Amino acid sequence: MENKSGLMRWLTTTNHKDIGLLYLVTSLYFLMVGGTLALTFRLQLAFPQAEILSASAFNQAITMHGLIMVLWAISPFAFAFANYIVPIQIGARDMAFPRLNALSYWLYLFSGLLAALSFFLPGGAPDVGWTYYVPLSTPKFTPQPGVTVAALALAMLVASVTVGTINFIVTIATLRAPGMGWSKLPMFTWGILYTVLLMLFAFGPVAAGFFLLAIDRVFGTAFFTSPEGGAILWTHMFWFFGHPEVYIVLAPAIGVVGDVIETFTRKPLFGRKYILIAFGIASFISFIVYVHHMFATGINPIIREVMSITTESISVPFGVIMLSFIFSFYKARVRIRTPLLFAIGSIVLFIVGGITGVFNSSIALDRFIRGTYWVVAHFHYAMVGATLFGLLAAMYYWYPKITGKMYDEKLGKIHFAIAFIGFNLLYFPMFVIYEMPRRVNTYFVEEWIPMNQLATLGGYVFGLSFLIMVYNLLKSLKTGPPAGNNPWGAWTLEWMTTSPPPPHNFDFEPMISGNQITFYTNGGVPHKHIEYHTMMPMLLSVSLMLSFFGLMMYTPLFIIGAAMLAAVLTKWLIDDIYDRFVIPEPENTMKWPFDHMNRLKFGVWILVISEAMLFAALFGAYSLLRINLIGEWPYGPAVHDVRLGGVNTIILLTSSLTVVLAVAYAKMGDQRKMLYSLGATYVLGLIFLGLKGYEWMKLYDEGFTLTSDLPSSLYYVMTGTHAAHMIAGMIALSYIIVKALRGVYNEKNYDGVEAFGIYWHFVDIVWIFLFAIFYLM
Amino acid sequence: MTHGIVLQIPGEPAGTWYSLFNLYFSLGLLVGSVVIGMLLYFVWKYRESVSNESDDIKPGVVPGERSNMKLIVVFFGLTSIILFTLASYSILVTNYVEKVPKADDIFEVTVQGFQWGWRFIYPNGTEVVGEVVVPKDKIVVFRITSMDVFHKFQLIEFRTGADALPGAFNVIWIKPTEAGTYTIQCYELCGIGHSLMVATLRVV
Repeated sequence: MENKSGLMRWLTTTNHKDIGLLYLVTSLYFLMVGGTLALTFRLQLAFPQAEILSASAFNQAITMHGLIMVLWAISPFAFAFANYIVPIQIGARDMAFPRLNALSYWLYLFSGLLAALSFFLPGGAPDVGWTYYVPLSTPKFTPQPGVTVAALALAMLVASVTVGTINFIVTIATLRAPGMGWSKLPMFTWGILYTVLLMLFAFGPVAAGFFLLAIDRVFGTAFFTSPEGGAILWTHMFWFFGHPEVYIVLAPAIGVVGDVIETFTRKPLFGRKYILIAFGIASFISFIVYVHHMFATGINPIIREVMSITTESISVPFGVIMLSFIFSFYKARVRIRTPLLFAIGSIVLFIVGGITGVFNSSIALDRFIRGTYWVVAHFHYAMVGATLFGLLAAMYYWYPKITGKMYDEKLGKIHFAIAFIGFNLLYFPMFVIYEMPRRVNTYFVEEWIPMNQLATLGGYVFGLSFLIMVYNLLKSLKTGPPAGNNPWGAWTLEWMTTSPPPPHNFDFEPMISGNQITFYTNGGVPHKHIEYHTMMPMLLSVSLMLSFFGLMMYTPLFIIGAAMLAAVLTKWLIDDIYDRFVIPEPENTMKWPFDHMNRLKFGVWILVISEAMLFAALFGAYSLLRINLIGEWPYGPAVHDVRLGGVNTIILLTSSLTVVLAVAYAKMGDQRKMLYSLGATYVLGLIFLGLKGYEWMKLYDEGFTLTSDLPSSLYYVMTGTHAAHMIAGMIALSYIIVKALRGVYNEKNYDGVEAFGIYWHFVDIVWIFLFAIFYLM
Repeated sequence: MTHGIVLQIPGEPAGTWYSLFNLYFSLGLLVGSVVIGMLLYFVWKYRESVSNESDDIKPGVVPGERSNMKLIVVFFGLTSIILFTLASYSILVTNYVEKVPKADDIFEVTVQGFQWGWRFIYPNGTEVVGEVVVPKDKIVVFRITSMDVFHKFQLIEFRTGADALPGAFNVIWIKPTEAGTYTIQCYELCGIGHSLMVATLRVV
């Protein structure tokens, strides 16, 4: 494929470095949007009873500030560097799935634009707080479409995150340069690996939550409005994601700080192994402690006490991490440069944020400080302080690598000084007036005025300090001295190529023997690079945005969007069928312990895990609602036709068997029998869906509809989600069959069939559970 | 309209709350200062211009491990001890705050949060919006619920509060020892009237 230039290059690129730059520009844009919102409401708060923002505008501003900063700014800012640096750090040519990488980016961009679009809708942007607490976010209290549009945008973002997660896990696990064992991975790559692993488990449940909320809002079901604990259900579904999200945001910064410390202290990171173990433990605990966000909601006292202690104990691994970072400076040769200053800033602010967070883990203290400015100050120290400062360290650290130019060191240091002072001026006063309620647009207490004014001043100082950075980085792009390959004398692989790196990263394959990084010179013939371009990821994301927006606002737009989506998907699959986009899987990479896994199969396994999390959340919702149900849960066999359901179950299980046969025949090289087996699977899938449709229609006639009651809503939503997964599987199967007809699969190449099989079995297993809980119980 | 909040301790559980808060605050301040101080000291002491230490990072060479198991155990131990101390005291205070003390005559008020105000229902059935009057030196119990969305019933000066949830009751107690007027405010975003969802607690 030809090299593209100008705008077309950016619209069609699949190169991880280009995508990293797209992430960088976009995330900085969203950072600016979120920041501007914050500066606006800080102005409102500088004076009691000010009238700059109405109560409604204020609530919209804080909600969108939270959503944009957490989901569309900070994490994607980290993924700018992850995309650019991680493949180079591990010695790969690109990500495992370059085209899906582009898809991640475009879904991210257009989901963000969709969310921002809600400002211009009647009733404005969501004004319910970024935590979207129900019942406030149900249509009875907030009927405006903006709330739904932003929820759909979030669902779209989850799709982006899921695709990205799969890509990064497979990349880091299977594309490492020969000799690069896990213990030799640079800290930043470790940080990103932790990030995506946390994302894998956290985002499925929140997607399920927003999905149910959207159904409530669009179709009038009552998952979150029912007295059966709908509100509590939301807090579970949200915080199961919400707490790990803090570590999702933090992990890349910890990685950056690790790399930067190593480079600028000229010593190996102290206790590197223990830092990694500690972060692993903290990540694990973070999924358990989410309940601490609900201390004041009156849940079981013993559970709360256990949660409280577990939450305090999460500080122990973080104590180990921070002390290890600090001891890395002991007996070192510390070169004080801008990236190191930001890294030190990140550590200092994290310590303040961490210690003040311990206060919240005490139930007695939390009863009062939940909902106060103490919390606002605490999590901004942790998320903005620790994370953003860490990522700014990354910005200055990798700027010479990305641009080939050196930034102005003096301006960099001035930026750090002003940002650090501005930050503390902004958030420290909030600790002083910790009794003030958060999310109020006006207040009547005189004692709160001075600290609010200091905070506002600090906000503007902090915000404007970014102009110094932008000026410095843009100016240096033109006039900065050449940086050279390795201006910092760092050891990691990204410094062993040119600045900026060539499209294929390295002319020769890197490898590590012992502790020495070398290159296979391959007789002096450098790697021949092929650029892959496609516009499909961008078009797919646009059509998804159009259809979501149309769904809420204007039906014709929905139809256009949906038609476009179908066309793009078809084109995508056709490209694949005709092998227009084949990137050979690299050989000799370090894959341990996944040596026998090809990238496709691996990717599908990760997808299955994330889907399992989504379904687990739905099953969790089912259990909670069923246990709390007021009145009798209808006995399964009394409502559903167990015989028909049973037959359907057998049909579906048989289709799993035919897939197993298809794989077996493929391995034997019997293409004809493989095709028959795939065909049989397809037919069985169709019969299953047909019977399912018949059942639905019959139940509707009997008055058992989507909105009749909770059991019926759960039935339709859960079996419907399953059916949607079936349909997705059938689309994939059609593609596999077409490829099989073209004779692609044989005894050497049956990855596609096998990967499809993994997904299909998973969908079948989910059905067995659904059959049990709806038909038999 | 501006007014002050009462800064002296108006009764329980504020006194106990402050004792716990002060413990957290002093230990936090101590630990924070020592740790940040240590970091800045190391950065300064081992800065490149004066450091005699060798440069162990070489381009293209994976650095070896540098750690000290004993020191890691010390890190682990120290953090655990500090947190254990805090947690133990916190549990004692939590039990005290959460359990309504036994008393002969408890003054019980039902609180209903709604968009946007607070309704108080006295033991005799009287309903009042916006102000609640309670006796001094008695245990006062608030049974808190919501009529619509989530709210949080917060007694600012008494340093206690609880979520007001539709369909559920949360209970908090206070024992006012100083007569006066105190602020009740909603601490959970509940819509456009959230900031104005204020009421008065009068202790007589």
